[in-house]
Amino acid sequence: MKQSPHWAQLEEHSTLWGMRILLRIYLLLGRNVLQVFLYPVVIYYWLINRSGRRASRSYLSRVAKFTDTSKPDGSLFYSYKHFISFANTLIDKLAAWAGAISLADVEYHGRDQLLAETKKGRGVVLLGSHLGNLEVSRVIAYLDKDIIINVLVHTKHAEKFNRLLNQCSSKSSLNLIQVTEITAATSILLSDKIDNGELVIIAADRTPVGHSQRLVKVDFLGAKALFPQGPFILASLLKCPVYTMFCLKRHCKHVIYFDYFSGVLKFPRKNREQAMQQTIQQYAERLQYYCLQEPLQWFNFFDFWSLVNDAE
Amino acid sequence: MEDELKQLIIDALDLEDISVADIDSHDALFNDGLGLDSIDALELGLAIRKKYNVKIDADKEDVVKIFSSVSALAVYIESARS
Repeated sequence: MKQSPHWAQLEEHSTLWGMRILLRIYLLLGRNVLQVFLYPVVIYYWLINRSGRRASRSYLSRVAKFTDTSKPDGSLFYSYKHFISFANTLIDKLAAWAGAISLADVEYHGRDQLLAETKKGRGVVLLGSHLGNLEVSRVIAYLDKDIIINVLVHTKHAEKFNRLLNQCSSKSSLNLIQVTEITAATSILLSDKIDNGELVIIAADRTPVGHSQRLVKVDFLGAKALFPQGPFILASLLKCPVYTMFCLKRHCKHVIYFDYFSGVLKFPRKNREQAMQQTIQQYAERLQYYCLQEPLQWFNFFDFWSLVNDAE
Repeated sequence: MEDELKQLIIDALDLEDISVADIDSHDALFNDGLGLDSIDALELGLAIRKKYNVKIDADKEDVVKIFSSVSALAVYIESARS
């Protein structure tokens, strides 16, 4: 059987191609026109992208088992809506980059607690995910001067996205830090940021490219899935409190949830694997909780429950 | 300096059952010797930065060399500080 491709390979050719077209239209004609263009594009994309469709349906049928109304389910209808939701998020990303999102469009939960935490003198690690719109959170860095945000991004895509970003906004000088591997240099760099009371965002739901080690199997939506150890190892090295961050679109607002996850993470050498397993399981439960709130905003269009990390 | 480093290693990595006397300055720190791993190396790098204000952010091969033993580490820190 042919193995399904790793997320990194999928994203490499698909989203960037579409994003470029969407960005053109957005800049030329604005959001409403873009929305009109969106539907045929999404239908086309949905029809040709067999593996994405399959991943979406299998994800949605897992979700259905956890909801009282058993909706959304794994039907074609909801899978299509799932893709539409993804496309809308792309527009939001473009809007965010183009500076068209204001603080009035954003609603915070837990921001005060988070700020109080940073006032204690150390920064905070924020575990992000591909549920909802991580991109909007970057915009907060411009809008909200109290918060300095550093986003760890994946090198391969980062360069291309940076190029896209530069095309549309001169303000896009946010701290994007390209990390494929935790090295001594990155840990020192990030530790300085934390010492300065800054925030460091790491996506914690995707397995690393080119590395088959440092993965953990945890329960997520009723089955085992692979999660990366890297973000949690990094958080433990940085010796600071850890929060989760979810940015969901609800009733035309971007609702951002900051939730306390743990104090300084410690993985003692004696039972390191076990301690990590436990922590990452906790994270998966948090992710599941928010996932069930807005199931259609889950943007991992690959077989998330594949227990083979075939990134090579 | 070497004893100071040994204590730093023990503290930074919570090596409870090991004392300064147990670590030979010329023994390998990683794998066979003390059995430290890559996470420990990063942890140690940060602790050294904090204490000696010496950055160990060299290439991978150099890092392996710097961390090869306590005495190698001491030599590196001394030379970086001067």
